[in-house]
Amino acid sequence: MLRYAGKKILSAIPVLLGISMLAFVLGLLSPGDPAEFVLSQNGLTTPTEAELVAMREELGLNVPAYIRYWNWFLGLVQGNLGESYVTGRNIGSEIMLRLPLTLTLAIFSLVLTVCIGLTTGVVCAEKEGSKVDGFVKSLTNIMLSVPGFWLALVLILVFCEKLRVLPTSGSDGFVNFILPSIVLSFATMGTICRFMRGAMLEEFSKQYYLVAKVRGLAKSKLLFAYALPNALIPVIALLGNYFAGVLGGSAIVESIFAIPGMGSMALEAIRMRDYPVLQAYVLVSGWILVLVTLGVDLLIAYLNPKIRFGERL
Amino acid sequence: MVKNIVVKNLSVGFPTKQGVVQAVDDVSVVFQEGKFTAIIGESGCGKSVLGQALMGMLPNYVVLQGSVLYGNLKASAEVFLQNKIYGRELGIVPQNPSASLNPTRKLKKQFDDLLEAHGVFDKDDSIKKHWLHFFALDDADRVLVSYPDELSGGMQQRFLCALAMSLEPKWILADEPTKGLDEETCSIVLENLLKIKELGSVSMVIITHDVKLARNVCDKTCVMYAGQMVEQGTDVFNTPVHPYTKSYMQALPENGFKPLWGRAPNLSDALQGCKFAPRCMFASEICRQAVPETKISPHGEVRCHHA
Amino acid sequence: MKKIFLFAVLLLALMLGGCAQGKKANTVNEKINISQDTVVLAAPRHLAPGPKDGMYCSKILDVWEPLITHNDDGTPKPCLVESWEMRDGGKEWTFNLRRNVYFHNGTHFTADSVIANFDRMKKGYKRSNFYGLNLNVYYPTLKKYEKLDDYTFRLTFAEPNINQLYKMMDFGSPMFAPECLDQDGHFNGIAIGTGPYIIKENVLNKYVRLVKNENYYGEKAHIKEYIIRSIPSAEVRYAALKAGEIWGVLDINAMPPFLAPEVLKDPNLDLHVNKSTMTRFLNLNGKRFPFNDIRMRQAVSYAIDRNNLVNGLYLGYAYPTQNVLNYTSPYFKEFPVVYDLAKAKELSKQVLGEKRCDITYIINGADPLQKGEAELIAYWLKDIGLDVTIKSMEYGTMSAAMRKGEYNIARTQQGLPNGDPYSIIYTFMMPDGARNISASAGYKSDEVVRLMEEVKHTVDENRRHEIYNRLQEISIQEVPMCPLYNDKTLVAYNKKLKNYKALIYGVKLEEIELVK
Repeated sequence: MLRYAGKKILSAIPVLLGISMLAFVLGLLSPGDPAEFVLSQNGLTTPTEAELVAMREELGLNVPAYIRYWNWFLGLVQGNLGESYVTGRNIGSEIMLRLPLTLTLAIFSLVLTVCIGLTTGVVCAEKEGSKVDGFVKSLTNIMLSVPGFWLALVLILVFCEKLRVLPTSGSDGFVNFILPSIVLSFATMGTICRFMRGAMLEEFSKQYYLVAKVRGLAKSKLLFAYALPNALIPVIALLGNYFAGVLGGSAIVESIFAIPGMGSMALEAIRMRDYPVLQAYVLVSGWILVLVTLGVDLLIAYLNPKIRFGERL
Repeated sequence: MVKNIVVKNLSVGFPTKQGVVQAVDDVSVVFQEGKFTAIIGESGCGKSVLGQALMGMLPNYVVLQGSVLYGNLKASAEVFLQNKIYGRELGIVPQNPSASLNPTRKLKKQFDDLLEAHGVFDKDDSIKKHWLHFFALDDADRVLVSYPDELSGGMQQRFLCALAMSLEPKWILADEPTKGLDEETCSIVLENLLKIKELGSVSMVIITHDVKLARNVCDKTCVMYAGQMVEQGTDVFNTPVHPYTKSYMQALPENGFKPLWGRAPNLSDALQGCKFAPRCMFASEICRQAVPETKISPHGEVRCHHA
Repeated sequence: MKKIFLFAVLLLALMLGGCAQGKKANTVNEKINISQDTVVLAAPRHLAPGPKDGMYCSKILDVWEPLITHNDDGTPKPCLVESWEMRDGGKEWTFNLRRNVYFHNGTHFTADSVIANFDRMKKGYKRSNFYGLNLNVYYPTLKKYEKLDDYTFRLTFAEPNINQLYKMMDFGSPMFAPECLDQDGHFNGIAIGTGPYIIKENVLNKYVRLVKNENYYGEKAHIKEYIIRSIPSAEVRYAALKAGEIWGVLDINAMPPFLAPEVLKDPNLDLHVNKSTMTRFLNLNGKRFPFNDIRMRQAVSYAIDRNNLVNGLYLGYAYPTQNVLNYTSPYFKEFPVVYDLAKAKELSKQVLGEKRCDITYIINGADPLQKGEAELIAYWLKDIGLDVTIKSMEYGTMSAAMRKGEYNIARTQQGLPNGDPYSIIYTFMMPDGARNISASAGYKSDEVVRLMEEVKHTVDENRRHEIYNRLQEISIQEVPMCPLYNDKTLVAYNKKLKNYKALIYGVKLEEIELVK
């Protein structure tokens, strides 16, 4: 198991370097002069040509591209992600401030998605064709089409303004993450519910299930001990993807709920052509994706003995 | 009470775009308690569907005519569940062992699931071990803590037999127990079934196309072709009466491997008369026009105009 | 697997429990420890970006003070400097410092402190979220700065800087205690200033905690403690106000006009309006047809019904103008805004003849209001022979396109950092002006060049006013760019506070009081 994990991690390293290089090249190609952005951050003043030249020098933009990348890479292996063009702050420490918030939000969203999505999926599969099933189907359709920002504002209106049971924004306490995670998980809840339902129904028609049924096992046992563990396996892969995506940060949710996470950092960096931040972001979120995928693979291997031991005749 | 399984004029149809396809066509047979009966035939002859019908496992969209009775109970899922027939009275040894076990659950737990569902609590594993040993799974401890995929196909098959027998049911349906298994495992299956027969407490219906199995284990054999039961008897292999049975025997390796030309008809093809007629060398005009009635044969029944 | 189900239910229960626990909207505030005397406000951005920012925090926080600040009419007002003297036509400036001023760390504010801050500025440009700290912008051609005695210092310039006071206003002369600066001129911790409030706690991107400076030399503040949170979304700020989570909003764009009527409907809330230094306008590409022809530019200016625009789109919370100079400047002269469609058509016909012209109008895609505004303007321009295609662009791409001259009309804005008209007029109307170049306006006027050179050396205030009046008149007549309106600063607050007033820039935190 450990060797498998180690191999996966090692093979990810060239991929990560590749995407950081890609981010670097894209930065070179895109229109917009970082020096200009730094000097006109406030949106009010326009720099003169002399000022632009001086800032370009300071930011090191006059150095040839491959040397710039090499310097960044050298800094990277020493654990230094560099400084933001725009704020001058150390990117590593900025990420250390933001990542925990994004992580908390992602975990909350995952828990919500799992709890509600999975349980409704199982219930719908069990009650296939019933009114409950039909109702949930229409409900998930709606859930998948609701735009995030609209949902956020409606939730804020109801729970914060009118009922006053939750805070509108901020990221200090547990309560602050309730509404944002509802918004983030809303659409995926519907997806997971449907997926789970489909996976369960598929298990219901499988040989081992029918055989167990014919042996007179109780309905609840069949559902939870036979169908569910097997149906869970493809769903976990899906959840892993979702989790990794949410870990990249959700700019809209973060902006509305005033949670200074990774998403808003990335958005600002793109807008301001803050290349060092962008490269760091690509690297960090890429790394997270690798780790999460690895975790999911290991989890699936643990849950699915078939993968562990292979098929034998 | 004698609990025979009585099938009377059973027809099972599957609705398709082209109309209703008869998987089982007017089959009548009695499976007697205390006996081992085989149902043989090629793939697609309807034997599996018949097996499902016996177990009350038909899907609810089929078109049913005729009846299947277990003792005096109608063979259906609701009736069987209500009367707690499953497991206690009716057991199953399914085909395709690796697909028949829950891949994510330890074997001990799967065994206990079955036992506990019928009120049997085997805390010290004695029942489980007894039956595992019975089927020559000596390393019972290791088997119990394993997952299905850790066992070989043969071991899985033996495990399934243990499961089926552990509740000591009256009847067992063995559905294609040797399908897809290699020679060695097939003989293990044969061994197991003989062991069960020796106990004398179980009746069995074996669905198979393995003639060797049917011959060595079963008291009576039923032959199906294109959804119909063309012959039933106690000595079908040595004295086949129906032309189909005869050609089936001819096609066996030990008889020279002489397969019959042609193919079984599609179940959706509407054929007047005997379904085997297109391939039968004894076929005559009446065979093409009228469906053969059931006639008595030296050791059973046969449906043929020329018997 | 029942365990998983149970676990899921448990977690859900926990979350719902946490929800019930947060019954009061102030739970979030309790977490950051507020007392009865703390007032919570919110701004669209974090007002204390911290050590790497040249200013550490916005002037709004009243933590640091400048040498010179501004009066309500935009004229220079003494702050840490008491009086001044100009000599040699603006090449020499002597300043007398206020006495008995102390930094938050107890050290005395003297000419040495001033020198230390100038040394800091000399070390190089410091970037900032607000206004970059640039010695060359605020003190152009500075030759020498020297201490004359403990409370006097002098600045000597190579060229006359008659409007030096304007340049030094507010963000041009922030004074920090030398102890809080490191050898590169960056902050080594929390900024230490002389203002009525001290920063007690700064949690980046979340909130900043201010406490009253009990040793302030001037009139002391009323509110003991402020927490100023950062809430980027305008709708959420509004919701927080309504929910009682915050008691006021501040900073640029604190409350957008379309939410103003909602605020007024709520009996617990109130609104205060003031002028803003922000001007919104249309850049016209003077290097390409048709705007290389002055008549076409004039036609556009006449064809836009600014009053209608302001009332319709901004609910009257803006001031229509055709003047390059913002109305907060003391040199601002009010000219009547002219909307004359007939004249516009006539001028346009002179340029286009019977033909129509295809125009590209680029806007910043991130600003939701600009699209509606562009469509309205396009509708009006249709009548003068212009077929407008609106292109919504990303900020960076838009500036690149403007610099290259790949557009006809672009919608931008400009803030007035201080009341001095010189830099604004320079940037738009001089041939080498930064905004003239970056928008490819291609505007050149010999009269403007001449007047700007003259005003640089003119000391007589009357003459200065005359010159600037003429320059404003030229901007209206020759349309180097086409102003639409000046913003109004809107702030909303809970009626539990009084004296919550919008200033031209920010609010006056030390004047705000709790209503007893």
